[in-house]
Amino acid sequence: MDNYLIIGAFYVVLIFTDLIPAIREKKTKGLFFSIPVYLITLIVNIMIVMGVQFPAITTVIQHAIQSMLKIP
Amino acid sequence: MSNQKITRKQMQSILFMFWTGSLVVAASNKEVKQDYWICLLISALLFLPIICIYDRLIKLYPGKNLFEINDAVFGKLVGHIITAIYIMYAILLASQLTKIFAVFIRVVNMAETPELITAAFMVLVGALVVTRGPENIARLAKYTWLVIVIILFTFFAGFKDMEFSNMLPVMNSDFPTILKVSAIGLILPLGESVLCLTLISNIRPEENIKKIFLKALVFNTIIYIIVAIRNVAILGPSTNMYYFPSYEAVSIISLKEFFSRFEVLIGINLMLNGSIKFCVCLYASSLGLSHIFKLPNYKAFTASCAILIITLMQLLYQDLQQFFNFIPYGAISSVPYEIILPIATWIGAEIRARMSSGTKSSKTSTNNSPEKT
Repeated sequence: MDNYLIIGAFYVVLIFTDLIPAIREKKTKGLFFSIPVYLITLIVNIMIVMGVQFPAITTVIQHAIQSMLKIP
Repeated sequence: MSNQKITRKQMQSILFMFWTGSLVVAASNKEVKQDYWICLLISALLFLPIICIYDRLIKLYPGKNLFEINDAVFGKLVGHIITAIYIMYAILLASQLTKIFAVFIRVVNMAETPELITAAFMVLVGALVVTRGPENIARLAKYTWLVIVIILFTFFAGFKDMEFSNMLPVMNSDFPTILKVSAIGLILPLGESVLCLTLISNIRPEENIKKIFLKALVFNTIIYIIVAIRNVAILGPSTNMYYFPSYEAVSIISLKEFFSRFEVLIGINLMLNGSIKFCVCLYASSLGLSHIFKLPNYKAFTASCAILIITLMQLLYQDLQQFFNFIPYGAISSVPYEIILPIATWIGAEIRARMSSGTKSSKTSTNNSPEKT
């Protein structure tokens, strides 16, 4: 529950201070990047808070390097 | 382009703070133990050629930042691809930094507080600083003196708890291990300063970049060595048992009976340095995106990058041990961004400079030829 609130507050702050002013000022180029990032990260964050397990990025990089350099 | 908002001293402070931002994880090494100070010296020496490369690049393209140099050297398409690679690197580095500081606060102080809330505050403050401009990061970096004072104070205050025989025997580790740890030291944190080249367009083109980097490197190496010696001299062989040896070493220090708990100073120190490093990473990623999207103002991307950082931070690793195991692999994975790409850019820049000077001289000789005259 705590994490839902934290994520919610974080997004509310950023949406009100960044996204809404950008939409008002019609900064379309920036919005092409910002809106998908906001949506995708929001979905990922909700999934993380719900307990969905994602592979750790460091483990993925570590396995990739181990297989590339043939490190046991 | 250039606004010349950052002074030479401020740039030195940014570099110093950027490098000491990794002090939280790079204050000791379990492979070389008491010989870590030797590795720090070798890392600094290994970094000298990279400084020369940075200096040459800035001299060839005065007033341009890292991304503009990439475009000028490789052309728009390849330049933009390299910029995208640097953006990913900056975001990943910032998310690693956020995670380690969130974990640091949870482990040493606030065990019940969710890491996410610490990270959210850190990211929001960083985003606010970055949106106020690079000169604001530079102004924050003026607290370098505080960092140096705190480190020197903890070193001298801890004298009575130090056992300098812990530093012996010198060169106990074999040379290949020392070289390996030095190479990791070169990548983490020294090589990460490639991202500071994004701030270069904000300082005067006539400033001597080599001098700025060298001064910051000397200060940084001295401070790292002082910290490494303090930690080993106070904690002895148990230094490597702790995730945050600086914090543990300083927690032992007390002056008489009533002045104790100095570790809070270390917390302040690490957070201050980490914030500067975070701001530089966030600035680099926002500036890179504005460069790709051809927007004059990078601020439009700061919040998006901040969101990406906080999301990636949660996907980095499950526990602290996993992170410390990852450090050597992290160093290997950073080689392309920190060593290969700058060298490739430098070679490309030299070729372009020779070609353009060749074209200019041939044009002048054609203009001065007897047929023409």
